[in-house]
Amino acid sequence: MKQLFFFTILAVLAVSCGNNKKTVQKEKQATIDSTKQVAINQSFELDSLFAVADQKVDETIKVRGYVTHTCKHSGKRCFIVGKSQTASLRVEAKGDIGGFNRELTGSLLEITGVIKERRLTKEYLAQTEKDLNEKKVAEDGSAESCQAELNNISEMRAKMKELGKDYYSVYYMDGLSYEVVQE
Amino acid sequence: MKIIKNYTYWFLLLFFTVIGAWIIPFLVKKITVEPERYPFLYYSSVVKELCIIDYKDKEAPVREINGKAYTTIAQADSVLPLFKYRQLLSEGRMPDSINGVEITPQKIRAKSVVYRFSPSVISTPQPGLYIMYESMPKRVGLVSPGDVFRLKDVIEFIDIESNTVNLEKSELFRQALQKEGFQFPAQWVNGNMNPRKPYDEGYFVLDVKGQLFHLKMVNGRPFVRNTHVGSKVAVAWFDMLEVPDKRFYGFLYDQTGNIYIIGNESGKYDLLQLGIEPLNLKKDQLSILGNMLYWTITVTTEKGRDYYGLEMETLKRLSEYHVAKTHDLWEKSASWLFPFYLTFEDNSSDYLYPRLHKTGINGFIINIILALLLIAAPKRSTKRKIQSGIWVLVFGLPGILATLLVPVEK
Repeated sequence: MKQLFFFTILAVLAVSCGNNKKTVQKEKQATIDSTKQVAINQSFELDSLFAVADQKVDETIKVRGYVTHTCKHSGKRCFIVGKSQTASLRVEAKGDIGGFNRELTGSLLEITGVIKERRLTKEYLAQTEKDLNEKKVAEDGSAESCQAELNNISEMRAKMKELGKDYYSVYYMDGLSYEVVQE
Repeated sequence: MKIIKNYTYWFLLLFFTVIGAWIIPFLVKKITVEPERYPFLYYSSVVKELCIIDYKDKEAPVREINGKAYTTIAQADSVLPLFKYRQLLSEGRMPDSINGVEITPQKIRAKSVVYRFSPSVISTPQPGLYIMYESMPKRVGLVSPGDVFRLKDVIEFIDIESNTVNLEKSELFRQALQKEGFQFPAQWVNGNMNPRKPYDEGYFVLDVKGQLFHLKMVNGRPFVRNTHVGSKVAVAWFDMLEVPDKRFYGFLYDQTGNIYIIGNESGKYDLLQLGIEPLNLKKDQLSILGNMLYWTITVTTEKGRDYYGLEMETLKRLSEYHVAKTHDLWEKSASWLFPFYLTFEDNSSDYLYPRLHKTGINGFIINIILALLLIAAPKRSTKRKIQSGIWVLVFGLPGILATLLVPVEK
């Protein structure tokens, strides 16, 4: 009788632990889902996205911006800008997006996608600068374009120093779907 | 001899006359017609002038329209580098730039335009059913969808296998069209249903108010835009052409015969007019050979052939040349034999119906002679002679054949 009682208690404990584990897992999943939902439901204007882009890497969010350019031949990429038009974001066609048709240029899109980061290291920037300097010497006529690119590298270095990082972040988005917003 | 009632006689006479008015000229044309021969011209990017090309002419395979001749094949090829680029490349004589523009085989192919227009393109039965491809497929190549659509009073997508209307998809597209301001019924729908093309740009549709809309399926959803071209010109026709560089969608014809290309820069549809004389859309034929610097346009009219050299970027006319039509034996003989005749076919249309062609008054001379001969012939009553004479005076050769075939009343 005592043994039966003991084993019954053991069995109840085992089931409740299992249930707890399932409950904990379900709660975790619910938390993840709700976090995701919060993230997807968060719709950023492009201008405000860059301020928090480093915190949103690999997160799925929505962003609004005006299409300035689509890749004419493949349509696999587009660039959007915010109202201030000071910075642009490259969006790759992934997920449900087969491509961005060229007629979207000028349209306001709300794009759901995953923010990605590409880090340009000091070594990469140094090598690029070296290549540009060699090109500048070799081709007298293209001094203007080379200088513009060299200036870009200087600005990147300045930004890295300001943020105290040894890399320069370039953010882009893997677009999963989009809607055209009627203004 | 069988007694034929009066009305039966006249019916048979008319019937055989009509048949004769079709058959006799048809047979005469078969014997006498000659194909129209016009020279081939191409605008040279080197000499910047239209050149007559005839490689069978050993003395001057290429000759400028102002008369200057290029006497060897090698010279001729060098004057037309964008036309003969394969030959020049194989010989290592292809220039690396022309007029300061870098030339590569890839660029030549990307900017190449070949196009033909004939009035039968417009005057042809429309299929009524069209295929809506996915314009932005995830994988390379166009896949035939499982449905077709029709667009007239409404837009309906019909599943091919079950032959039923896909109500959901039809409603989605209908709403997209209405949202953009499309007004049913559609006047016409023009696009390219052939999947063997480098990409798909859907269809251009003219609504009842004469506004031209761009309709396609992008990422599984309807894309509809009012091009606003209808507010600038009176649209008559549109012909889609998928050019390799996607510079434009196709050629637009307005009611007065002017031709434009419809392009899209910065999301807006723009028109660029071709610098040639307006076409007669019911009769004239057009062909375009375009390269990365110039376009050569040939227009065949009733009066002959017109050639134009246009600048590629602006489509402004740089040069022109006209070759008058020469009348062949058929046209010369028809004007004397038949004051008018019937045909059921025409090069300018795919529809079959009787067409009356007038050649002039010279044919009535033959008619008068035949009528007099008939009146002078013996063994007929005076009344019948006069009636037959008048008939032959009007209908000529077919008429006299009919009077000989149809037995007279006794």
